[in-house]
Amino acid sequence: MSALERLLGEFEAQPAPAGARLAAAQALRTHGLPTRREENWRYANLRALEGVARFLPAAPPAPGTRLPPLPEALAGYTRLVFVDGRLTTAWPQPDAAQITRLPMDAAVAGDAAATMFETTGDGRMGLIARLFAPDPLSLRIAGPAALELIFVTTSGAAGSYAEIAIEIATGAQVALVERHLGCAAATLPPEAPASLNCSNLRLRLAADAQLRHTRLQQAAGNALHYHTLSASLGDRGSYSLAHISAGDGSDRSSAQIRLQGREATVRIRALAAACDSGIADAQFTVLHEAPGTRSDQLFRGIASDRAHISCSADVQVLPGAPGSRVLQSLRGLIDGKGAEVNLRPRLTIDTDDIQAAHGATTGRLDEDLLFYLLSRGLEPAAARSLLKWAFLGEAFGAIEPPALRRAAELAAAARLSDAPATELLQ
Amino acid sequence: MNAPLLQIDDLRVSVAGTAVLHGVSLTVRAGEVHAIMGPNGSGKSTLAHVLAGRPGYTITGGAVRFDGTDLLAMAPEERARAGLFLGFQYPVEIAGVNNAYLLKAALNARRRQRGEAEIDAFDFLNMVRAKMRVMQIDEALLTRGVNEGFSGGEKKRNEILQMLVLEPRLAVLDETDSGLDIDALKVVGRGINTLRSPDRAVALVTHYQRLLDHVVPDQVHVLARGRIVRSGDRELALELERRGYDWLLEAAAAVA
Amino acid sequence: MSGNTELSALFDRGYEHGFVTDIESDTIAAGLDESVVRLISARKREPKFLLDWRLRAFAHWRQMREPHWAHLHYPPIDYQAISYFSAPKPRGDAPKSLADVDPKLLETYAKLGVPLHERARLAGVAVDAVFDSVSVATTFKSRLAEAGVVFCPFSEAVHSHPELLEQYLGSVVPYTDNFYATLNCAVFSDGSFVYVPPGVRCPMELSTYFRINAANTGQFERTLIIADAGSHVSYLEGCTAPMRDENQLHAAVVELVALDDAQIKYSTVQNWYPGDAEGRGGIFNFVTKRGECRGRNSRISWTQVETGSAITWKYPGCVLRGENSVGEFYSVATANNHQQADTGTKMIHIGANSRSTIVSKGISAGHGQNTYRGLVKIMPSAHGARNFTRCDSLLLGSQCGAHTFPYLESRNALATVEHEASTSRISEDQLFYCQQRGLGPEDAVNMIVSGFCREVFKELPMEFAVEAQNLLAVTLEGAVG
Repeated sequence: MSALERLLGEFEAQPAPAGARLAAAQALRTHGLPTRREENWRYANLRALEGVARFLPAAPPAPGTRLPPLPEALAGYTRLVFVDGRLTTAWPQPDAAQITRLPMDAAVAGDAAATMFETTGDGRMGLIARLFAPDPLSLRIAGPAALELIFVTTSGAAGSYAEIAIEIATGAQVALVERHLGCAAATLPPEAPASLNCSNLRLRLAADAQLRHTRLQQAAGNALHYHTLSASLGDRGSYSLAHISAGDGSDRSSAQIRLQGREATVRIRALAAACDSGIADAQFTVLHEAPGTRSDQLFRGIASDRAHISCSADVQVLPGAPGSRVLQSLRGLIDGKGAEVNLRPRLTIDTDDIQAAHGATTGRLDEDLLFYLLSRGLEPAAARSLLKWAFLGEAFGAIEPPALRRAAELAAAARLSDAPATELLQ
Repeated sequence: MNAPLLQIDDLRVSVAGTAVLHGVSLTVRAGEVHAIMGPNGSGKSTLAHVLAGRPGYTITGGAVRFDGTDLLAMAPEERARAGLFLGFQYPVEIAGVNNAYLLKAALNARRRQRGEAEIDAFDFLNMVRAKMRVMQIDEALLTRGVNEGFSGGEKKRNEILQMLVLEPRLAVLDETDSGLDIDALKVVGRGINTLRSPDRAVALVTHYQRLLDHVVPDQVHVLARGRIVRSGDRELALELERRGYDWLLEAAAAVA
Repeated sequence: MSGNTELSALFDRGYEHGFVTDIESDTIAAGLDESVVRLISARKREPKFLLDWRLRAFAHWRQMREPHWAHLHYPPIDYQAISYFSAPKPRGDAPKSLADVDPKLLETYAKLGVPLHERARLAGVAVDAVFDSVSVATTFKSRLAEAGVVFCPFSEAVHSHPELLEQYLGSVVPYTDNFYATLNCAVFSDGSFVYVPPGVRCPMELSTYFRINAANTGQFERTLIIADAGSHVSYLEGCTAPMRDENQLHAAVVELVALDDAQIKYSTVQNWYPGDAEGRGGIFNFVTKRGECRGRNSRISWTQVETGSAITWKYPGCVLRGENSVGEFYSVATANNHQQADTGTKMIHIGANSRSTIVSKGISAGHGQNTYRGLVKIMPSAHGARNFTRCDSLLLGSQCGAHTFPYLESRNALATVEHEASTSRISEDQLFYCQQRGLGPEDAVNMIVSGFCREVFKELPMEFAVEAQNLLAVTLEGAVG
């Protein structure tokens, strides 16, 4: 049986599902899971999905189960911890006065565009999260807030799912950190079947809302991650996404960002570092739907050993978006015999009042720079690591606060064949 | 006295709904050099652009006659062919179109207008080369894209070269002196002087008087807040150099 | 005056080559089944290997599904309504010289400006004129024969050089390649064959003029060019077509093979009927063109100027198998009115130190949709391979579209792939600057557009460059106003 048939079978065997979940199952049945024949899934690791033994979410951890150590708290952030998709933090948190929790079904019903993305578009993997997420979380943020979401998996034998919707009110300024720690490698035997992690995150920014979003993806060895993100921006909304993929497993991120309001702006800084047979595949679609909108996408990836890194950046400027500006820069480095880098920068432009430019490169370290450093007496390994670090640097620049940036840098550094000198790390 | 070459009467102009020129009147006769000075934002460049017919400006009142005909009713290229030349403050770059080609196309457009035959390619090259020497422009620039990769000074000298080749009746030079070093300023000044003749006129739009050391004007006008607030001779420019524009602005404010 | 309205009125000149020559056509009834494939092969008295190959292709085609792409929109094609063979009726036997050719045909060529008579000799161009499907005249054969170059209709090569055909036909574009190429393999009518022997520099530019004539006649040209070790050849392909109200399918296949140190330059000016201003009629141009740099230091260069057709779908590509081999692709594609152009290239790097350059200039006007689609693939064996791609789009009008879909796939740590692209419209500043120098808006746009395309035009042989420049001006007339 195919993964789709099995996962729908497991879903239907549960007691009476209703509402958005039932609709999600119906959509999956009608439209199926993505295949590699689809443009935006050309480089995706979908075969691994067939190796998932069980789709139902893990049972709640037994009392007293030791969690893997959590990263140090970020000052000023409200932290919510999900273990195997279950929210383990008491809610509401006293320091989260600006945040209200809402029913999830209403959030799903209230955003037709995101629903379209999930049912017929590249967001279909997000439906798996909807089917099984034990603790869907829908929040409305009215004022300045900083939120840290931590996702931990304890068992490789079952799925871990998160479904989250966040609505940001007019003029609110929000910082959002997402950390996917996957299953700590030590707790899993190497021959264990792939553990499936799916998340579905919906973001809605009202006029003048600002969101700084950092996602740190650190999947462990046999973890399989599929992240789905949809965001829509109102007038002058501003969204900045830093996406760091630095895990050992396989991860795929699908994102669709809609610039629906005038002069809405999105800035994406994505970074991938993978080694061994890791797979990092990121897909970002930006739709310019209103006049004067801006998007800026930057990707830097290094594939070592036999790792595969892909980035598809797809920008569409619709007829209603004159005066838009688009920038894309995708760059990949290959650093291993079996390594592969695939870049797919795409521009679809249907209005003439536009300035758009993209650049993409794959290749090796700049020989001239390397020679310069060697001629200054650096060891070859040190010179290479320095250049690699410089190559990734632009993408790190967007990460705040510094503690998070350091965590991201350490995670990425561990996935390079020439480890950067510690003094290079912030 | 010569008949006026350019006659501006109470010209009023707005940009995107905001009035920029509030009734400018000016008469330029053949053989004269006028300097139009003023602080930043006074409307100097607007005046130059409106004369050349740049889109984006709304004429809300007044009239402009060039050589007796209604200038404002003409398309930009018709104005150019009739002999009005604008030296741009920021000349654009046009990739892939070489300078010689543009120059020749422009010259032939002007010649056709005058009922003359297109210029012979050989004569054209000889003539352009001679003028390039006057402007101290490297001949290699002829085959490069229009202004493509030119330094700021090269662009300005190239504007004056185009003027010398096209031999306009009236040259309006918008901040041609900005961004030039002393040597380049001399070369540009020499180029402009080459054009001076009893049947041509020049309007220098400038912020500083230093170009006027090289090209001595017959009249100097100060444009401030969309009006000509004072006119005089070369002495006025020197006075501005000493005293700045503020005293004139105050005087203008008192009038308004 | 807004730049946009300025840019949208300069665009209306009728198609210059819109006329139909009245010549009796020897046409097979519409429809396609195995018997039609056998009939085509029998009429051409083809050897068994070729018939078998056609039949394998046809069997494969029947299993295939017509592709559909997100950015191409057209009504379904009825493959049974197409006649798969049409040839001008020979008077007596096949024409031996120009004197034997139907005078009306010659008249047509005259209208098109094909230099078939003495003009051709003066221009130094050998013309293998394809009218509909069968070649009717080949000139300069003797001069080419002296050099040992074979340049003849495909159907002739079947008999004169069957061994070369058997060795090379389908070796670059296999019969299973894609829907349209496979169909072509089954039913191809005629085309050109070129063989340049080792060490020979072809003494002249080889040129073929294609023309689609009889109504509802699909055109299935097939071209095979083989440049043997150390040889050089430059091939020009130019296309015009008569005005027709029905869509006509054109599914040609071009295969190029360059052996050690050989060079092939293939230039195309494509000006088929694009349909009227409302988008009716026009040619569907689904062409498969591929070259293989099979030998060391070999070079294949594609240059194309695509101004015609209702739909153009073509990706001339290079398989860079030889060490140090070089692939180039220079393209100007325009889409005006309701034209759709989906074009680009594929560069597959297999050999070490293979290099490729891609320069693509797309111009969209009216309701035109222009898409660049390109794949650069570096295989693990291609140490030191390099690609550089420059891909620019120019928009003239707010109803048109410009799309850039590059794919960079690299599997070698010692290879470099670079892609740069930009999309913009003609700036109002540039237009005004030219107008201030006395140029009319139309001339200004033409000048700016040809400047935009210069990098590609300079790759064309001289006589083609002039034609291309004129074509572009005609194509974009009315884009400004």
